Amino acid sequence: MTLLQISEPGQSPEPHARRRAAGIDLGTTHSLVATVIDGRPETIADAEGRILLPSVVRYLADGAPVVGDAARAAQSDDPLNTLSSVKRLIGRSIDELPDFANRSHYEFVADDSVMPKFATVAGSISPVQASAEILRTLARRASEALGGEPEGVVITVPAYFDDAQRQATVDAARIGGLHVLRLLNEPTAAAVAYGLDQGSEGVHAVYDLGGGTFDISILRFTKGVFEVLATAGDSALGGDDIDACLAGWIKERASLGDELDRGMQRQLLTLARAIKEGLSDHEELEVTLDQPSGRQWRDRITRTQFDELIGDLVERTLKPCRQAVHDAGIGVDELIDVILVGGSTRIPLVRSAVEKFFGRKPHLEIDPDRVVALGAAIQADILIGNKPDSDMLLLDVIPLSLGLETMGGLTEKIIPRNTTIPAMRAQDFTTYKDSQTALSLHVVQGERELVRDNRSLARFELKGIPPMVAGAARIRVTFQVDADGLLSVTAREQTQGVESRIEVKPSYGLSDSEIESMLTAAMDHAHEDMDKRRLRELKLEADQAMEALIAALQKDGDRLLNDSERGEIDAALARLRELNQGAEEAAIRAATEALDRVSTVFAQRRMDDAVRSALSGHGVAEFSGDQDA
Amino acid sequence: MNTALQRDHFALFGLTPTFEIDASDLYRRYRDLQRTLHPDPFAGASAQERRLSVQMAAQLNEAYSVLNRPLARARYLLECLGVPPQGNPKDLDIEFLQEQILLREEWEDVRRTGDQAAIAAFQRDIKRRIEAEEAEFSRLTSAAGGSVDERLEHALHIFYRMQFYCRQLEDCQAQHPVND
Repeated sequence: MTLLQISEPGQSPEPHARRRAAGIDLGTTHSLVATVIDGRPETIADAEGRILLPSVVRYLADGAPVVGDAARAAQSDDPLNTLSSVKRLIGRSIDELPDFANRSHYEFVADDSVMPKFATVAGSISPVQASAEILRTLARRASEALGGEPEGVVITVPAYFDDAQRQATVDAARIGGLHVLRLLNEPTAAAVAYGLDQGSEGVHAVYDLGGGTFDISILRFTKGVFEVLATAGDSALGGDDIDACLAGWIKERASLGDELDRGMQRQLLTLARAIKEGLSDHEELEVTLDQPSGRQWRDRITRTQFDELIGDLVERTLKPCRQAVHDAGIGVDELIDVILVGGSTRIPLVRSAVEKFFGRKPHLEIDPDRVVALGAAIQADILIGNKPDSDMLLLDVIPLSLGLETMGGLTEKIIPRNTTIPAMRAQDFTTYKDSQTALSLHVVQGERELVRDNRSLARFELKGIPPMVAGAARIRVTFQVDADGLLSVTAREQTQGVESRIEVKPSYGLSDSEIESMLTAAMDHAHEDMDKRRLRELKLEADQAMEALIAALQKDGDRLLNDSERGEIDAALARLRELNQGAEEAAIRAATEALDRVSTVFAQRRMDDAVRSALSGHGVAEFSGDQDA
Repeated sequence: MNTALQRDHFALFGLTPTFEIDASDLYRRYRDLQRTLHPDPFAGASAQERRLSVQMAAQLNEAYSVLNRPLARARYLLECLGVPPQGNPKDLDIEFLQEQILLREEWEDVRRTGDQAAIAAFQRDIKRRIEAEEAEFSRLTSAAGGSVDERLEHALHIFYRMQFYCRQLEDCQAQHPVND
């Protein structure tokens, strides 16, 4: 267990007990896992020595799904049950399917759910469930390397992922049975791996073109602090689109016609990928394809032809680059370097476009396929508590503005894009009719003026507003974004104190009960049922809360609490300790909440104390008269 | 007791409310406070402490984004001093408004020529005007003596002028970014 580290920098509570943590890069094309071994981040290979796990899941009529190379090998033979590039669908709704380059390769279930689901022999499967299988496979790989299940993981996501896509990734981890320490933006993870490796202070650009997503982040690195100044991107642009573009070229050249079966379409994409990879090292390639007719098609393609084909796609990445540089408020000449991340940055045209835009040769000392996982492993090692004296601090931003729908279908921005997280902003609204007792709120994300052009995240209603004349109620809506970039919204009527709170769950996301039933399904062969699992987690949480509090009391209790406050806390502690021996879920929950309540003041004072000591080194450490806190 | 969560932005940084702020000193305070309050060091802490840390780190970010930008800082300072700026300033003098219109026209002319040096010079000029207003604002909000009400009234007036110039500069930069 980790103790509060604010009070004891440089001292690990249990110096010898290293905790098991891992960083996971959950990619569109492939995924991988890394961990810190002897102070250095290392990627973890499977039993065959393979580091990259193809993000492909094949569902079978009976038995557990197959993940990785074996699944990818079966793609042409079993296209309907073999799911790839699901990251492009995670957190998206059925309406957004046209964005999905491989949509025609699958069949989707038509039910009343807005979340797309694949029709497979194993039933209908959501992109979240398929992602969970990939995560589970990587977690198993990490368990073998670490000598036990990872106690916590950092999962990377594209910086440009919106709230719905982030939430869906967390859901996938829950279904996969993983404890998520943090969602980390991919470019930031790469910067961490580079920054700590090379120690170069200054402003960096990270250009990350992966299999399905594009991110550009501008970060400043000084004295252990990675501060994202701006980020931009396109969460539906990547190597997949390049493959689709090449597949189109083959189809045309080989006169294949439009009516291709799914296996053939798959084969085309596989060939396209081979051409793309081949042209990174060669100027010209010979291409052959066995046609359905039995004839063999043969042609040649040069790099110049290839560059022409993908020119527009590469150009599309430069607009976000301009945007990010502008939003960061810097000039291109102020960047000290440009880091390339993602497999698609191996393409020579991409490299030369980046070099031309930024006016310098990009960095690629660290393998662009591994750098994100390595950075995530470093962050996981710190968050789990293995490096209490680390001075690393990551300050990231939200990629897209968060707001509310107002009259006339307009978007009112509450938190603008590129705001540093955690962030909290409140805005006051009022009623527009006499005796109005409810207020509907529609939470959206995006930069456009009209609500319908933005992403709809959630709708909820504040009910029970006391009847008043129009305009008399004062309803404060608070948006809070945590360090994972996840939003929660609270609405509160100020005069009477009516409150409504939601964790923003996308309208087409998974409910808690759906997640639970998917978890149960996934654990069919496992040994414990849901109730037991829930109780175990609850008890663990209670233990954690108690241990943290006891350590805090030992350190600061005498100084910051009077006798009656201390007595109250001790009593609540004793009660929870006793109940936590038993198995009464409701009672343990209630006692945990009670302990939380009575110890809030103490936690608050400790924070204040920490604030004071953080400022003590800074000349004017004055606290405008409230030093008696 | 005033907890850190209830403190004003200046007090959170251990500063007295003033317009004059050393940006690098503010950044160092921000960094040290964020190392203390950020959710990362609390990843293994209790749910309560994690919650508190998110709230406080968010407040710190908000405070920093206000204090770090002169215009936002000026607005916030006026709020603290009891003269919050209104959405639509009413009593700006005609002369100033006329000057603004002329300035806009001048910018259109410069912009159309596409002359990079002239564009840069124009933007530098606006920056100088902003700096002059800031100096005056700082003097008015920190000076002692005289009628406080009158001084603050005047400071409010200066604030509106700063706001005009800042918007003008933003528009110029959005159309023609100049790095200097």
